[in-house]
Amino acid sequence: MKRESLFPNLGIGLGLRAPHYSHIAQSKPKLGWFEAISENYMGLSELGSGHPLKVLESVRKDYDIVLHGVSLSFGSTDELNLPYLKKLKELADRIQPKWISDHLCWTGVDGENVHDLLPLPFTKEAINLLVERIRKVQDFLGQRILLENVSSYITFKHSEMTEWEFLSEISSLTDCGILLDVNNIYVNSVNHKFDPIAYLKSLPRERIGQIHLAGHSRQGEILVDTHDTPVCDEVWDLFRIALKLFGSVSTMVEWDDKIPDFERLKSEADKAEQILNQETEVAHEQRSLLA
Amino acid sequence: MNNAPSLRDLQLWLKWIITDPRGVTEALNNSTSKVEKYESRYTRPTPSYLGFIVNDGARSPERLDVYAEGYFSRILECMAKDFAKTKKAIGEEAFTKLVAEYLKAHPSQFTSIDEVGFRFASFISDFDGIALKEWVSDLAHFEWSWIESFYAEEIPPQSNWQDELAKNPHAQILVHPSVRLVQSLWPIAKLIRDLDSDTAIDSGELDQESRCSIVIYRFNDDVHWEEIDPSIFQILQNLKREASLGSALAQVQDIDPQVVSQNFSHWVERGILCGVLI
Repeated sequence: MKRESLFPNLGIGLGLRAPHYSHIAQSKPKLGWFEAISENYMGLSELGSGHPLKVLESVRKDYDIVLHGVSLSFGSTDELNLPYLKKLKELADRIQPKWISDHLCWTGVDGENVHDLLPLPFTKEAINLLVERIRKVQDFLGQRILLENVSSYITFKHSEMTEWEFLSEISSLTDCGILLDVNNIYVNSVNHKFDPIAYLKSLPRERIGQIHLAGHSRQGEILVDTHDTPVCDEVWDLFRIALKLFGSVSTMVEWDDKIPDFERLKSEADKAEQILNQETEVAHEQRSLLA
Repeated sequence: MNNAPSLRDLQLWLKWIITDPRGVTEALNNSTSKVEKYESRYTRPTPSYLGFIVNDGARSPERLDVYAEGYFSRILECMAKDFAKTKKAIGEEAFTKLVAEYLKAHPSQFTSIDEVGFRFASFISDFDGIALKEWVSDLAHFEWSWIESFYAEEIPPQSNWQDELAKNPHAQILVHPSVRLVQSLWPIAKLIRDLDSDTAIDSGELDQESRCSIVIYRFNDDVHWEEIDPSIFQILQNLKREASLGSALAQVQDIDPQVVSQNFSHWVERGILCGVLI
């Protein structure tokens, strides 16, 4: 029997991006929620967050918000970034997001930040490090977080398991949720030659709290997670399979570069909603037949 | 797998290969032709862990290239956005080289990529790698001050604070946290206006020393800037240093009271002055 998700279903959402602030304020588009990049609302180190935080608070009055960060660097062998963690908690206390998420990766080491989501070897050593850090962060924030699978262009010969085993094990040991980036699974399946459906089938259904959909680009033989194009057909197909496996999950479309106008972005979200409704209807019919 | 690296050693090696200024191929070949200052950027940890990266389809140097190119292009894009006027003034080629040199000297230690440009203006003023006019660092300083103004804390203006000031003339006047003051020996205010209006830059004019004073502030959610008289600049500077109006004025000589009054009204209207501390 399928277990229910640990997370509420918020429906379809979009990323909150600066070029769309005015449109959202004026038009109040019909959407379930927005995902805000945490760092965009934390300001600069010695300064406040000024106008961006004011915008976020205003959007929060009309929409649910989730906070999505890129700086927890769970997989780094440096110390946890406590000043950042403190600022994240302050932001969360102010905004009351539905949840907070970050990535299964590292972003820097030896005090330097590479400003990228860098891949990890899938080893017991890495699991031990990640589990300790994720537990500390969840304790500090006082809530369960969601961990996103990242796209990668390298894998390591000394990995001891698959990426999906790695992700599942960590979420189980820490009791955290999974932010399932379907585009990243597709990108990785091409770059590292594995079956993306096998990846999806192995994940614990109840831990899937959110789905990301996005576009990518090709660079030679490698797909690169550029977030600057529409979602491709293969990723829409994988999304359909994810919905069959996990049921209806809060889903959003990411478009972070060469950002189109809001209506274009909304049309991608509308397509996601159409697919979600189709799959939910099919599942309901199948359950009725079985009953 | 035998001799597998520790996670830390692997990360230190990956960080080096991704950020080595020579690029992945030359760094792996340990080419010394381009090694200049900042040796630590070029010093590769040993042993090499290239052999632990899977080669399947695309070779591992090509795969590492995706990260290395992404590292520089991401930061360059951010800097180009934050210093758009500087880039426009000196040209794309010079700007790209400047950012590359800046990253060698100041690899990011910031959590947010939006803070990478923090030391850019001071770096430019000390940099002698390419021929740059002296006003370039002042222009970059203006642009960073603009960013600081954008992110500064928001505080609501006090109501009826001018009545309080009338009752307490020695009270400290509150200057809005977004206010930034920039001065230059060069006519960068004209340069900024020319850049904003796509007017051709008169390099002869820029080579002439012509002091300018600028105030930057946030009002109605937008950042604004104005060129102001040096005496007015000094008054604002004194007020920012937590002076009362009287003591701020006392430190400036030969100022027309009418000019002060006009500026004071303007500052109140624009939220530059926003309260008193009793």
